[in-house]
Amino acid sequence: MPSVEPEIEEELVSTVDLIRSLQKAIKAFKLYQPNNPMLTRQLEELTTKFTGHLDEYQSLNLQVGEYKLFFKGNPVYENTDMKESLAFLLYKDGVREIRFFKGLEDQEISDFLDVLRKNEQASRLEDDIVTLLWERDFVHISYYATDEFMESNAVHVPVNYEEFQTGLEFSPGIEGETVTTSPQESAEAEKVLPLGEMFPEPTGDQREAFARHFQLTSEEVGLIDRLVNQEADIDFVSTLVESLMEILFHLGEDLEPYENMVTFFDRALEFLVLKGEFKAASEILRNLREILDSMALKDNQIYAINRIFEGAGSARIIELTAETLKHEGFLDLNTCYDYFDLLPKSAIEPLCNMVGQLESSKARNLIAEIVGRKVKGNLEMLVPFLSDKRWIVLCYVINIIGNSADRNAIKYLAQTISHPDERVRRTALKALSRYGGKENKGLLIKMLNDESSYIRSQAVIHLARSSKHEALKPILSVIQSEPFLDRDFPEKAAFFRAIGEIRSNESLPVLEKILGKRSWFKKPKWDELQVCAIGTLRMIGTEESRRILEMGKRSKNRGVRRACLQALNEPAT
Amino acid sequence: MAENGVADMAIKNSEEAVSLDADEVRNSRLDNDLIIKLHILMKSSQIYDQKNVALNQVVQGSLELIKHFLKSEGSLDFKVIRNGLFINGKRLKVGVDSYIGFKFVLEQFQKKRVGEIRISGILDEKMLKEFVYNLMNLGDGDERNARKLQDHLNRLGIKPIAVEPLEIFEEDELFGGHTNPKEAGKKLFFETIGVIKGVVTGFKKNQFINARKLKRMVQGAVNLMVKDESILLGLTTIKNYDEYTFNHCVNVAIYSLAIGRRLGFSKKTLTELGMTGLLHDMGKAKIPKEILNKPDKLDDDEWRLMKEHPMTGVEMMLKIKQLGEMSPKMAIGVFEHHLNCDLTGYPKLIRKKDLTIFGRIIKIADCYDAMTTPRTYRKTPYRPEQALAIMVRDKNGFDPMLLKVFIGIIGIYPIGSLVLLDTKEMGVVYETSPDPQYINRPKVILISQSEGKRRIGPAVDLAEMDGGKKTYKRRIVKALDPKKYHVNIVEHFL
Repeated sequence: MPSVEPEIEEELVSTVDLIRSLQKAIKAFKLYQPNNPMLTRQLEELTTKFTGHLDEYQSLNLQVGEYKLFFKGNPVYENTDMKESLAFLLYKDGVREIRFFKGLEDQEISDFLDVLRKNEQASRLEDDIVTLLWERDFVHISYYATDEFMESNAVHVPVNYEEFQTGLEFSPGIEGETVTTSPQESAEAEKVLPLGEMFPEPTGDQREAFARHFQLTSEEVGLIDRLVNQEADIDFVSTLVESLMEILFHLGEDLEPYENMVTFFDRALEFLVLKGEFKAASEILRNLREILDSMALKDNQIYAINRIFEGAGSARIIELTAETLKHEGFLDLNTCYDYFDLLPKSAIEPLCNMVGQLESSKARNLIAEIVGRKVKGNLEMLVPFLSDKRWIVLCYVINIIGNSADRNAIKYLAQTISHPDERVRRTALKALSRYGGKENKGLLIKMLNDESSYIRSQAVIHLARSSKHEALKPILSVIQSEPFLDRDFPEKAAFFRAIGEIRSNESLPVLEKILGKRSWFKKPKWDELQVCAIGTLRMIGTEESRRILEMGKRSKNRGVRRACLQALNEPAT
Repeated sequence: MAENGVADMAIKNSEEAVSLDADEVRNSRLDNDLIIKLHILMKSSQIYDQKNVALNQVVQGSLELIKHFLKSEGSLDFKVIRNGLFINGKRLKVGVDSYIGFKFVLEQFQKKRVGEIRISGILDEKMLKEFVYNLMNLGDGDERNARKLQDHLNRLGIKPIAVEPLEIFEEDELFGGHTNPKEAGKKLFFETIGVIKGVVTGFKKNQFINARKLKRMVQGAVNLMVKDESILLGLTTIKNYDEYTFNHCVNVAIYSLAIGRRLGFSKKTLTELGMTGLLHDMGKAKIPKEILNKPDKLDDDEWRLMKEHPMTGVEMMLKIKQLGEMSPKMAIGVFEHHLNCDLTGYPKLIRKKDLTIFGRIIKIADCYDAMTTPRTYRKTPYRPEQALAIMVRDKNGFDPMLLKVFIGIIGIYPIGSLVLLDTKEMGVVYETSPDPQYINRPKVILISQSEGKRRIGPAVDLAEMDGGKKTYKRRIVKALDPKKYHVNIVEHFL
């Protein structure tokens, strides 16, 4: 550092220290969320330093160099990294001096940091730092900016009227010059009575009445206030969108302007969704749909409207809606339904993803219903989600497929019956249960060997009901298998009930065999099987089954005897 | 959504959407009421003596309001910083009805070098009157005023009021290195014409368009307007016939900004409005010069082409990538600027809709400037006061409320009018009275004739009274045609 004048030495040290804090705060501002304690600490430190410095020295003026900041000619900051340099950030847009004044408020510090952050993120086309600073209208921060970097042809500013007039080629003239006025024109102009001559000169008390002609009434003030502040209203977006639609109708063959129009609509819809204003958003989409359906449009217009629809159902917007729907309690789900229902098929993917984000089952069901409507006839659109890692997404997708009544559904459900998550398999089974037929039978038979007792029990009932006699053989095969004996009673009961529902004498030999079985080994398990078999015989209710029950009355096993007797006294169900 | 808000958009940037919640709106209303009352009180103190009953109502109203602030916020702190008024630390968002009061109060505090008033306890009628009368009796520009006023209040035993001096900030640059508002205004005016010309020709040639520069110009214009609205309004009397379209665009931007400021638009919205004004006739760049400058009536085809310019302008605007995330309000403003309030005009609308505030403002500014500018097809333009009279009579064309706001800005004898005074002098109107009651009493530059010689100046305020007689020193008899009297209006503003 070059030699410093003694009278500013302390101020310089304080400035360097302050800038160091500023740098830290800028970094924290970029890294952390607004409420992060690290950011809060850095901001507090910066505020303390600013307050201390400004209380002592009244103001802080920093000159901005390309990569350096100077205080009274002394460098107080240097960073040549264009991406990181605070000096360069200010310099590149023309800021040459920045001043902070005593009274600087916390909010101003935070807004200033926000400007720096925004400018860093902004593209070349967006507002530069000068505009951002200017728009914030800081009270205790000012700047000097040059626009020398902006290319522009030098413009001559005339010193006076003579100089101004010298440069003109055409002049309608003041007196005796090139242009003459037709008498008709003059006469026409003279017919107009100026406003000031329409009213007599008011005196004293009349002044107020006179002024009222030109003053807004309180009602008008209210109306204007509403107009000015209408940006706060959701209705304003709708008003803007109506205007944008008009413009859309008038756009010509050039495709380029449509791009910007589409962006406007995207932003409008994004805003509405963020605010949870699904009704207004739906209204926009419905209007566009009506226009598409009822008006003769240019190809570009159709293209643009379709793009708007795609935008409305884009992953980004759907993610925003998911955020909004998390607070579903505040929303009318019916209006959300309308919005989603209007989205194109391209929204299916993000909608499915959305299911994974939602916490409310009501909202999830709503989305599933919508997706179900959209995939009608195109179930293959859901295939990517059959390998989704989120069980909840998979379950909803399976449900949608199950509800589709599409014959292709079974093909897709087949991929899910051996999913490691039982919740998924359960849903798959439920979905499968809605279908009959050969392919279904094969899948249900596979599920008889599922690792979950609940699934096996449910699968066997569905199998019996959907495949009737064809189901008998695989079911009998399971109940005769060795592991079946050890399965819990409800599962056993389910299998035997399934056989009962089929009501086929073909099962009688196996049942008779079970009834006649005498084993001391695992006796309670065999007892369970025999009770189930008796119940099944009663359900079958044929002469042959009754004959076996009659035989059972004479069994040496007291339990079997009593159960058979009871079964014979009860009607078949 | 209060500031930068749906909504600009709301649409423009939803993250920034401004949200005014109910409390904010209510507080803003109270702040504005306070300014309106203070304005009336300060004005009245110049007319009536302290005992005049005419003061009672406004004094009572002010006391009620002060009481309300004390009750709800503990104290009332009224502070002037730069060109802003802060009430209890919150910057006043000026409403359309409080603009004049705001300007007056701000100017008075700045002149008197009083920067802050803190009221920490209940005031009575006498205390408030003493304060206001003593404040208004302070001389201008004396830095000891705050101390003097405080001492005086102390002597009278008025303890709840504390007075602090005005904080003086070093003068900010206005535009292009100038601190002299008039010079800054001229430079800005001519540079903007150059820049808008560059934008349009750049667009035609598919070259880079310096939209940032355009934005800076608008910012410069707003800065100047805050300082002194009349400078730029005066410059609108300059008619650069060679560059009609560009000159016209700058004038439209100036008028629009003046209206926007009265309405209390934020700086961001003002930038957008100013940009809309500058770009509103961009579509004319696609119309052949021969049609634009045709001295005769346009045929059907030419007229159809002419009617396409708002839409062509929108298309061009939508193609300027350098405008970045442009607000849709700008495109809509350009689209609507030839639409009447009853939705007639052009482009012909397919569906009924409300006109946006940008469209309504640009329409007024555009028409007024076009009517007052000579063209090859209408060599005699309407004089400002005639143009205004025609606009007022056109009930379907313009938003009547905004037209009133516009009249409040330019006056019923608008800036640039030549008037005959009852003193047989002529005057060029250069500034309107901020008080609507004196809308027919602007400030004029006198033009007098003696011994065959014309004398220019001085500038006088027609609201000025003749002390002893209690009558006005001068009044306007009628408007005159500058051409008939060989008066060149522009030279008074350049």
